[in-house]
Amino acid sequence: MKIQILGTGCAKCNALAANAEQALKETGIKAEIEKVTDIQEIMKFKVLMTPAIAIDGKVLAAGRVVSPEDIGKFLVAAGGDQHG
Amino acid sequence: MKNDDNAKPGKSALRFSTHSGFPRNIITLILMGVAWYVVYSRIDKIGALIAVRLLHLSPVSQTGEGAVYFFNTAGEVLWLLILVIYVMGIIRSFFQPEKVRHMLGDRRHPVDYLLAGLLGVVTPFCSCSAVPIFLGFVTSGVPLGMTFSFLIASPMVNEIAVSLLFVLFGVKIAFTYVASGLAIAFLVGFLMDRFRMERYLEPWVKEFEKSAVDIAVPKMDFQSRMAKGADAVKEILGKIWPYALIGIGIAAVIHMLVPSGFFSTGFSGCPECSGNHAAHGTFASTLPRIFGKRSWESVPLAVLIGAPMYSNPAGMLPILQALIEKGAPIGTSLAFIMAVSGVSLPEMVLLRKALRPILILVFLCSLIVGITAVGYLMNALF
Repeated sequence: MKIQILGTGCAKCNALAANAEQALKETGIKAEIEKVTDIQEIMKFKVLMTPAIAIDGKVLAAGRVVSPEDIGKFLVAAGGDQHG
Repeated sequence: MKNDDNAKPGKSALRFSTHSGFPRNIITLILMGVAWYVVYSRIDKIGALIAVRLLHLSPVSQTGEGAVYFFNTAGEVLWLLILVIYVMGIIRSFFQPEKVRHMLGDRRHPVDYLLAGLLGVVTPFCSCSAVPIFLGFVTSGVPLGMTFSFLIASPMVNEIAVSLLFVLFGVKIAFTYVASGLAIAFLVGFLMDRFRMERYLEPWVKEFEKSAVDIAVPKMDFQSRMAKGADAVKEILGKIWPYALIGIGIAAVIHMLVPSGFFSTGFSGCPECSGNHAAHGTFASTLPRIFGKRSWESVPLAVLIGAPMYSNPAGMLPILQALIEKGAPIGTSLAFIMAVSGVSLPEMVLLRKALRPILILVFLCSLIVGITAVGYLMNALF
């Protein structure tokens, strides 16, 4: 599973990345976090607002800092294996 | 609704209120508005209350006067900001960038550039989203210039600056500021399309697949819009209050210490040194030069200094007001504030990925020329 944080490096993007890390810790789901900072790459996701979060290439939220709990829900919904 | 009631069997008394949610919210809003106004109409007593009653400063002493000014201005500014940010938060919950893009998609009439500017003011996005929005608009068929109108108006005409202008300078100046900000956004955008500047987009933007995936925007009831307003107050006011207080504090000191007419009279009118102004050092000799009314170059100079600066208008405006009261010309000062808030160099750097350098240059220059023109105009008017 792959989590992508889309954002050109603003404070909110970093906050979102931190939340994603926390969500992984809390749920015990294993996933790789990748920060996509190149604007051309970000545009390929067709988002209008950053920060945005995509799981396995699918954008789930854009323009807000999603809470770790909500990211956890995204992860479970995307079929992440919970190891305790 | 049914499910909701079942989920909370013990709260059946609330069923009435959930069904008639809208009028109840309206009543809440009206009550809050009245309470807000009652406080606002008395807020100019707060300075005397804190400075004289609580801190036991003499109201006629210099320190006392400064303190009264500080608490009065801070109280009025913060209290007004609560209302304005709250209302803007509710308004903005109606305008998502996806929706706006759809609205602007097939518009080409000159008036639509003004609409784009207005939409820029009410659409919520932080500066870090400016470039994705820009590209998202352009690649989905919104004309380049119209996208610029949207993008220029958004930071320049912001509710924080306008509220502070209203408190510190009055409704006439605040209105002129909004009108000129929109005028710049309109003109720059319109002219860019007139001169077909889209030629200077980077090729990859033009070849970009013209389909747009819209993230589902959740439907909101009025209650959650009100919550959005409250969130905005918490987030924005939580961020800017220190700037506002520091700015007003510096302004209070200027009020107390700088001789009045300092900027308008420039060198000759200084009461302290009878002509030997070297004694004041660089601060005193530079400021009148930039903000002094007589020198024609003061407006463009203020704009050029303001453009690369990034600062919070909440901190800047009180200081400028104090300078203006000491004789600095208002147009120069407002042009400065416009340049600070409306021109963002980091944004230009990011836009460079999508725009050829000449287009960046055109964008930057037209902003600077527009803001300078507004500065001259306001110097002449007020």
